Amino acid sequence: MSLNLFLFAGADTGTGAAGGYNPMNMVLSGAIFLIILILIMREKIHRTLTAMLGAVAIGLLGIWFNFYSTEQAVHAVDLSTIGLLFGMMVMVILLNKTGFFEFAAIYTAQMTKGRPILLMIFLGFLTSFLSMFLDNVTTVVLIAPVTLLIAEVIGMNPVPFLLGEAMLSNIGGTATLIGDPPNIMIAAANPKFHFLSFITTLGPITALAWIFGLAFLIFAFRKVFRLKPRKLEALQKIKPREALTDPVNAKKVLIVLAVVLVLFCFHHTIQLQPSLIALFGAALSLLLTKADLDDVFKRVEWAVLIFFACLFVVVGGLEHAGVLSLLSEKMVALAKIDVKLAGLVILWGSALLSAVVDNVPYTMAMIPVLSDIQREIGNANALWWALALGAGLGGNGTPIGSTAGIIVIALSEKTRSRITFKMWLKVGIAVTVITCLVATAFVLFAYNWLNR
Amino acid sequence: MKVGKVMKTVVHTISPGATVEQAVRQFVKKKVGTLPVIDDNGLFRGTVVMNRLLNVFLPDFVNLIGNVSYLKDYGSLELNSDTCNMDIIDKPVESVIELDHSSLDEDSGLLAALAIMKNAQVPDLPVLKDGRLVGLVSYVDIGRGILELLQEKCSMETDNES
Repeated sequence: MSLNLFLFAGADTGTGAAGGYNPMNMVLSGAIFLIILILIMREKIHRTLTAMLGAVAIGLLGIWFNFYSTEQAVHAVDLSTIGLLFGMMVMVILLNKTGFFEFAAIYTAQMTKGRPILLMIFLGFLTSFLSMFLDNVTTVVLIAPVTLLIAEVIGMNPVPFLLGEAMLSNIGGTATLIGDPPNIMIAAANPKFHFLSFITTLGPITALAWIFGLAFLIFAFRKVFRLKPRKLEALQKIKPREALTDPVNAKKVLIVLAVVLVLFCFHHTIQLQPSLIALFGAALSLLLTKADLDDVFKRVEWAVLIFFACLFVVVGGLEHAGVLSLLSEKMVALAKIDVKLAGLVILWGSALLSAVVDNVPYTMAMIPVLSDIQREIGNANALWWALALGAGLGGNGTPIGSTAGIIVIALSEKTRSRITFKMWLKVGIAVTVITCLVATAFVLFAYNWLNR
Repeated sequence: MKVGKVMKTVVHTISPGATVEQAVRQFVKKKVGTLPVIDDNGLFRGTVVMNRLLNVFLPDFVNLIGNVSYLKDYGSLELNSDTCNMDIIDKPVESVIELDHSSLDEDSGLLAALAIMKNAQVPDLPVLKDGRLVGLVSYVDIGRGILELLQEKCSMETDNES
């Protein structure tokens, strides 16, 4: 169907209050979404405020032009995603208060005896491992300052380690349902996908991508890694146990986290939503550690949660205005012709867009599109995985492509070891291309395995 | 009791263009922890606090991590003649740290002084009159003022009893 035919055919999916899609509504809501993406990219206004303004704008348009009611906007907010993020945030806050992350980073660094390449591999692995089970943004926020400490104390340039951690954590986070916000949203939108299906499908792909990404990072920073640290002995003098200020509560939260992870693995069997499990973990941790609730809630990243809620409202508006149906139609047509090609378009398109715009709004907008494709062609699992891989791995392309990247850049700006945009691009583009090539190989040569 | 009654009136100051080295020398020579900055017209521009100035020598991760009490040896960052950042010493103080702008009027009470000092986390507070510095009040001065009030109350009670 041509664009014009589509626009004026009054295609009704039962979403628009007006009964059909009005081109004016599509143009206006599409423009709002585009403005939001540009504003988030420019970073002049806080991204949460941008999303709030966007939600209000699309909400008002929806009411005025009768395509998106307030009730529909409220329903558009996916509480599963927000609940999961909140629950995990609370557990991380409680664990952070105990000094566990400093302990883990210092302990890991000491195992390398300060040998630069090993330090890169071990700290990269620690960050990636933690990113698989905690939000990778949180992991980077907690590990990067300790990395700065370790590198500066032994007299090494911290930049390669910080860059490596951000990029490897992005790759690691792509492996699990809870590691990266796009994955959380994909799982929430797709009941078929559970914790184990993420790990068993994305796990091997991201493990390979991680190895290739790390190998490139070591090659790119070979000159820095050839230098001998000036004060190795200072690292060995640190007593990691002293960094662990509250071992009793650390143990309690770690046990709860372990229980939560086990429940995540079987959430589809016991029929419990991951968000409910995360909230159970958060409540149990709060109870066991007797934490000061005011203090914990002050540390929750409300701006992130509100950002998500507002974006859900915006994307809901796009859906009801019919903008996403337009994209769905094109993608469905492509998938019907060549589903592998559709997978590659989704993978590389997602990677490219995630490199320049926030992957959260992008994934949110793509979810209804993929749902439509799934309805049309039946099993579209491989396409969902392509979306998760593209959105996760593409974030390494530029410093603004992922929140972890933004955080590491912002953190480096507060130090004498500034990471510039150019510095990031030099390695980030290559890491993205290499890791996406790994994913491409799977789409091309293991499509049936992906689609199982 | 008003702060004007307890403040120190002999106050050492620096000019707005003073370098870090000049400020540190003044702190050390005069054995003070606070130096108000006074411009050519005699107007108060802000305060340089010694501990804030020294913080520029701290590694960045200290502010980012918070508790680093487990780190006893700062390794390659440890202050010595090789690592000490000499670039900072010739820079104007105002380009290195932000001046503290808390101050109060000489007619203000002791509690107002105490509250401002607590919120601004400064050890001394400049006392102004029409925008010009007339004194400096510290925790010790406020303590002395409170002690005087208590003594006054005691002697009044003793007088009443007799």
